[in-house]
This record gives sequence, structure tokens and C-alpha cells, in this order.
Amino acid sequence: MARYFFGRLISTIPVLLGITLFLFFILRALPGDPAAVIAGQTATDTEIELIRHQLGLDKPVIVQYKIFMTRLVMLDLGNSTRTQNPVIEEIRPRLVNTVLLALVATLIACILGIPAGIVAAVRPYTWMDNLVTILALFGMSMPAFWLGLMLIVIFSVNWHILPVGGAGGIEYLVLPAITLAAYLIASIARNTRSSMMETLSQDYITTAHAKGVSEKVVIWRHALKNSFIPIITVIGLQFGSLLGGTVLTETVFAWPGIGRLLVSSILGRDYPMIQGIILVFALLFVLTNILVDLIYVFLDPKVRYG
Amino acid sequence: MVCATPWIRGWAMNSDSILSIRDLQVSFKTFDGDVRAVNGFNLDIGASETVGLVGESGCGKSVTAKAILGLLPKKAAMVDGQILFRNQELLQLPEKEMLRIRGNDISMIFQEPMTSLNPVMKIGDQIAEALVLHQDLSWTQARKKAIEMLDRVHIPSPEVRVGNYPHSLSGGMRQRAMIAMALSCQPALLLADEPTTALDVTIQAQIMELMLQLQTKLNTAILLITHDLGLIAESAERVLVMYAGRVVEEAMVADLFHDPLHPYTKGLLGSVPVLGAKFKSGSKSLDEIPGVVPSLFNLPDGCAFHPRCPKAMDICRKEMPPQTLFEPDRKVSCWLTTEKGVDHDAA
Amino acid sequence: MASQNTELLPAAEAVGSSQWQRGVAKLLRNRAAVVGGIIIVIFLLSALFAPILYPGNPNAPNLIHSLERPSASHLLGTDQLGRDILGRILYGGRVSLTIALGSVAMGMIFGIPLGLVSGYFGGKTDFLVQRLTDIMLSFPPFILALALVAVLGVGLKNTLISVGIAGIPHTIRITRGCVLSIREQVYVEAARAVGTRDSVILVRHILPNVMVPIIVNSTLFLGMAILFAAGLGFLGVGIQPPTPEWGTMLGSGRSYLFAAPHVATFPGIAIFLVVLGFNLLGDGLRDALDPRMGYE
Repeated sequence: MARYFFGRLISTIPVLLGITLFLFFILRALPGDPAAVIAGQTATDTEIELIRHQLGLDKPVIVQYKIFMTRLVMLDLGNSTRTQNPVIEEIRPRLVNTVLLALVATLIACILGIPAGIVAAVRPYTWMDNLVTILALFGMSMPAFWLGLMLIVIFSVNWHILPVGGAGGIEYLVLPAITLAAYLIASIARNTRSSMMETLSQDYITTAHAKGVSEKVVIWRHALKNSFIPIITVIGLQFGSLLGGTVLTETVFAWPGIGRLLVSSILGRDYPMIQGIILVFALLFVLTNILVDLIYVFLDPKVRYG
Repeated sequence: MVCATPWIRGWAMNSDSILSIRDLQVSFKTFDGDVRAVNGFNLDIGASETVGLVGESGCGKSVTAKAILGLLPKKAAMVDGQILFRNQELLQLPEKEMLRIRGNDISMIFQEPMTSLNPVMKIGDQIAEALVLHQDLSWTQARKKAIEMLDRVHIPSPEVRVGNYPHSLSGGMRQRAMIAMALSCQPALLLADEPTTALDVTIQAQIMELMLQLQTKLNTAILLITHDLGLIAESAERVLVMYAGRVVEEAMVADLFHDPLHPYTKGLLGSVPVLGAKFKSGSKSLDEIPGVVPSLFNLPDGCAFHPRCPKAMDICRKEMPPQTLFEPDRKVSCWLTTEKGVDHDAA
Repeated sequence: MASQNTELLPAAEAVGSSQWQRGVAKLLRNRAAVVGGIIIVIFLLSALFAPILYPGNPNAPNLIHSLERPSASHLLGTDQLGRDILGRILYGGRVSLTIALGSVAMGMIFGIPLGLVSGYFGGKTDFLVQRLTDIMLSFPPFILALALVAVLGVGLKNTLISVGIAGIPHTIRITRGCVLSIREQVYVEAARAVGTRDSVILVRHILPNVMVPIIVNSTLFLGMAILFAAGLGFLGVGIQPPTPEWGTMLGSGRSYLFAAPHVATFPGIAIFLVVLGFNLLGDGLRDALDPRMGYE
């Protein structure tokens, strides 16, 4: 098992390299001159040239990449062009907030989505199933940022029970987490339903029934573990959408995370920041996928015991 | 020639039988209409008897077995008739009582050992589950007993195998494990649905031998469902031949093979290739029954076999022949052998 | 020996046309899919006939009537610049439609050939394409679109390109997966044995079979594209005002959430309904056409 874990980590290195390469090159493919942008509109050519030299933009691209990578390994992502602080320093406190939001949202999604999917699968085509299916479809079609705004209108403007935005105690976490979780709840519910239905149609479920096992025990002891494997896979795949969703949700609720920071960086053309944050997002996604792979291995005895 | 006595419907349970089925009807609701999978099925099985149920794919044999144990989907399947097991009418029994019978008094084993065992549950636990449910053992005790059962079905190193997952076992071993699971609570009746079809021929023989051995030891009756006539000839005492949801002939095995009465049975037996034999018609190809099995959506009127029967008469096209008793221990559903028929087959 | 089949089909049917016929029949029986289809048709028609349904300039400010609640003259009210919201939603539909169709078309134009070539020929091409796809898929899709917008800039064209590119890796994956399973089929081997050229095999045998999962996924992706574009618009990095785009309208309406929530509410409902329509239709298509084709 440990060997598998190690092997997976090793195999992500080329992917990570690829990510940095990809990011590096597309960010430099910009039609425009970051030095000029930073220098400002009234700058003279000499001043722009100076800044360009400072940023190392006058060197050949390969050399730039080498410098970039060496700095990256030492966790130096450059400085923000707006605040002049190291990018790492700006990201670090906000990263915690984003991860917190994402984890809470995932937890909510599992707690609500999985049981809903199970109920729908066990009583297919009844009103319960139809309700779950319809709600799930709604959840997947709803723009998260709109949902967030509607929740604010209802809970903050009209009823005054929850704050509009910002951070603080737990009450600030509620609406953003629910908004972020909406799509995932729907996705998990649908996938749990189809996965369970698939499992319940398998031969070994008939065998269990033929043994005299009651329906509840069949679901709990025989079906669930088999259904979990595809569900976990889906959570892993959808985590990417979740991370993308943080950008929108944090903006709506003014949640101090890296999502909101990314937006302001794009609007402010803070390229080192943009680069740094996107790298962090990609890294989070890759790590989550490895984690999901591990859980998968743990659950499936065929892989574990060979 | 020989007179037939019509078999009375609703005949009371034969005192020797542990299972008596009368006029079992099973229909499925599908999008394109109702499908009658079983159409008037009758059966008696005595204690420790081995009865074979033979027929082609789709004739309703598996459905019958599942109906006995109440394993058909409750919403889609409509089941009617009488199934008496030890004086209990199974079709009227509440689910709680059925749970006690399944795996305990009546067990079932299935065709595909690959897919019939839970891939994420250890073999030992799957066997132990039945024991915990029905024999009031603790899980530790049940697991110990599971090792014994694995030994009984001749799986080597049972103490090790008990902790294995199904994918580490070969097909034959998996089927043995299934048998261990089914017989762990010493049921009075074992329903074996094509138990050897998915296995290699040599393994088939071993598995059948094992089943018959255990049957004697445990006093279990077996309903052996298969499409393999050879298997029936070797293992069963009595046999029922099924076609399109009905039993067309029932006899002791020796009688059936020696002197089949129903044209379908004759066709089945005639089409089995025999090494070195010359075919009746003198041709070099296998005798086959012309036509195909009818779609259950579109069963012919009268006798379901009449479109393919070489001896079909007018009445065969209009009315379904009742199952009639014809000599002791011989039942046939064919107009040729009842009094109504004009043309009697002389053979 | 008699046949093992219990179901007598009238004759051996060719797979091609009857499969489609059966699929369409099954689709029409699916009420949810039909509802989805109706929504989409309404959407298409209202986008096409927007100038007739709302004569006049939807972008022209009319400050006297700013932030009015829904009324007889303005069915959905007016926004902060006094513009009729219903009219802007209708015109916004055109924008959303353009982006949806454009980005999905992009995905197909680049994704299908790459997937076909990668899956069919294997080897180094496959390795390269796969690694590139892996890398692109390591980014959360919306983040990838954001990165592209950061590079390319804002506006309709760039939004379309960004969303389109973000969808290419997914299309490649689906196409390739499909090709891999078809490639091993006996009829492909037979065609090759007879000497058919690869290009002909690709077009005649493989492409038609690939189209089935592609169509299903594209329908679902149309909805996704609209969501993505709206998200970018909401953040202010997508389509810029005064062009009416539902997400952009939501974004500008956000400041007036307390005083005039209707400005943000109605564009959101529009997005929701259209995406729902595509999802219903896409799901229905997936159920109706071969469910065995193995895609997400």
C-alpha cells in the first residue's frame, strides 16, 4: 500500500512539471507588456525597460523558466505587483479559508447527498425517488452565484438571521458553504442513486436475499460498500468543479479566500499573483485526486490484495 | 391404448412431499404488455428426493425457483397459485416469515459463481452470515463453523480460505463455497439453478458429486434446474420437462429417456448427438426441432408447442392440453395421450 | 437444436437506422426530456425572434425609469439604468446561445480529430496528446477558463474562446475512449484486413459510433458553457456591459440586491431554466441512445 502511494506521488511529478510549463507559457503569451502595465501609463520607455530588467523579462524564455522553477522549488512565487508583498504571504492566510470552505461544503454534500441517493435507489420511481431526482437536477442547473445571491436576499435581507458576507464566527460560514455545496449535493445524490441501483441489480444481492438477509441489512452490509467506490471517484472528479466554484462563492459572500483574491488579481493584472494562485489550485486538485485514488485502493480488495 | 385420468386441480398436498406447487402462474408487467412466464406449473418434491427441471433458456425454470423463495420483484411480478411447504402456504406468508425460511429451510444456489458472491466481503463472512441469521450463533462461532463447512465441500486449507475474497478463488471453488453457504443451515430443500453450467466439464462432475454426497448426509431434497439432459440422466430420480412456462412431461428419469411421450421431449432427446450413431432419417445432420421457441409476448393459442409439433391436430391449435396423469408417476400435457385425442401414437 | 432466443425479432435488423428510430421513440416517451426539449425550443425561438418580441434598443439607458419593480409596461421591471429587463434577457439569450454553440463547436472541431487520431493510431501521438490532456485536466475547469481570460482579455470573443478551450480536453477524452473500444471490434479488423485505408475506416466506421456519446455530452456541455460564461460575466471578466449577458446582468445587479432584488433575480432564473432544459434533454438522450457506451 505504501509502495502504491509512493508510486502515485512520483508519477504526479511529471504532471506537476507540465502544469508549471503550461502556466508559465500561456501567461507569457499575453498580448501586452506586463512591464508597461506595471510602470503605468505615464512611464517613459527607459522606466519600462528598467522594470522589464528588474522582472527579468528581457532574458530568453528558457532562462526565465529556469529562474522561475528554481524559485518555485524554494516556494518563492515572486511578489504581487499591487501590494509588493511576496505572493506566498498573500496566499497563505487566505488558503486556509478556502480549504476550510471547500471541506465543509464537501462534508455537507456527503451528509445530504448520499442518504438521498440511497433512498432514491431503494424506492425507485416512487415519489421519494422523483423528488430526489428533480431536486438533484435543479441543483445541477442552478448557477451557484445566483443561488448565493438569492440566499442572501432571503436570509440576510428579509429575515436578518444570517450575515451578508465576510468572515467571523460560524454563522458566516453557513451560507457560503451551502451555496458551494449545492452542485456537489446534486451530483452525489445522482451518482449514489445510479451506483446503488447498479449494485442492487447484481447477482450477489439476489444471493444475499436468498440467504434470508433482510432488505435493510442487504443495503447496509452488501450494497453500500460496493457502491462507495464509484461515489468516491465522482467526489474526486467533482472536486475540481468545487474549487472553481470557490471563486464565485467567495466573491458573492466576500469570503477572504484565494478565490476572491484570484478575481481581484485578474482585474488588477497582478500576473505573479494570478500565476501563484492558479498553481495552488492545480496542486490542490492533483493532491485531492491522489487522495481519492488511495481511498479507492483501500476500498477495493481486488487492488489491495491482488 | 392407455387411459388417462385428468389430474384434479387443487389436489391436496401429497403427504410425502415437503413442497407442493399447484397451478403456479407468474406474469411480469413490462412496457410492452404482460408476459406470462409461468403458466400452470405443478410440482411435488419428497424429502431427500432429487428432482430435475429441464428446459431451454427462457422456458420459465429460474422464474419458478425464484417464485418459490419469493425473490421476484414485488412490483413487476404477479404470482398466483399455491406453494405449500410443510403445510405453510408460502405465497401468503408475510415477509418476516419468508426471511426465516430463506437460507434456512429452503436454500438456493445460482449459475454464475463469479458474480453471485459479494466481491468485497470475505468468503467466511458470507457463509457465517447465514449461520448468524438462522442458527443464533455469534459471529466468532459462525466463522468457526464456516471453516468446517468449507472443509466439508472439500476446499483445501479452509482456515486460510475463510479470510479470502471471492476473486482469489477459482470458479469451481467459488461454487463449492456457494454450496457451503446454502447448506450451512441444513435446509430441507435446495434449489439449484444451473449450478454447473458456468463450469468446466471436469469440475461439473466434481460439483455434482459433492452435491449428491451432501444431500445424503444432510437429508436435503434437491430441485436441479438445468438445460443439460446428461446432467439429469446422471443425477436426478425424477424429471420435469418444461416448455414455454408449462410442464409438458414428468416421469422417472429412466422412463423418460427410454420412452418419451411428449413430442417435445422426443425432439429434445433426438437432437442430442451420440457418438457413432446413425440418425433415424439416414441423413448426416443432427435432427432438430423445426422453428424457434415462441416469444413470451406472443404465445400461440392452444398448446404452445403446436407450431413445431410434427403430430399437431386441430384441437392442439385451439385448446391447451391439461396435465394428465398417465400411468403412476407419469404426467403429460398433450392431446395425443388423453382421451380426447383421436390419433394415438403407437410407439 | 432449437434456438436459445425467447424473443423472436421479425427479421435481422441493420443496426444503423433502427437504432436511431428506437432511440427517438424512447426519448419521446421520457416526459422530462420532452419538457427539456420544449424549454430549449422556447429559448431558441425567443433568441431568434428577440428583435420582434422586443423592438427597440435593449441597451439604451432610460434613467427616469431606473430600478422600477415589475409592472404592466415593464413585465420584469427595469435595471439600474432604466432598461427593460425582459428585453435584455431576450437579447441576452442570443449572446448565451452564441457562446454555447460557439464553444461546443470549438470543442468538437479540435477535440474530435485529436481524440480520433490519438485513440486510433496510439504510440507517440497518443502519448503526447494524453499528457497534454492530463495537464489541462489538472486545472479545475472554471479556473482554466479564468486563466485563459486573464491571458486573452475580456469580451465576447475571448469568453467564447476561453470556454471553448476549457472544454477541449473533455471532448478528447470521450472521443478517445470511444475509439479505443471500437477499434478492437471485429468489423474494424475485417475492414483493415480487406485493405481499407485508415482514413476511410475512421470516417466510415468509427466516427458514426463516436457521435452518439459526443452528442449526449455536447448537449450537457451546452448548459455548462452557459454557466461558465455567466460566471465569467458575473465576475466582470467575461462579456462586458452594455452587452446584455445574463451573468453580467447578475453581476451589475448585485449592488442593488437590497433595494431592487428583481434586477439580479430574473437573469438568474433565465440561466437556471435554460441550463435545466439542456440537462433534461441531455439526460434523456443518454437514456434513449445506447446507455452502454461508457461515458461520464
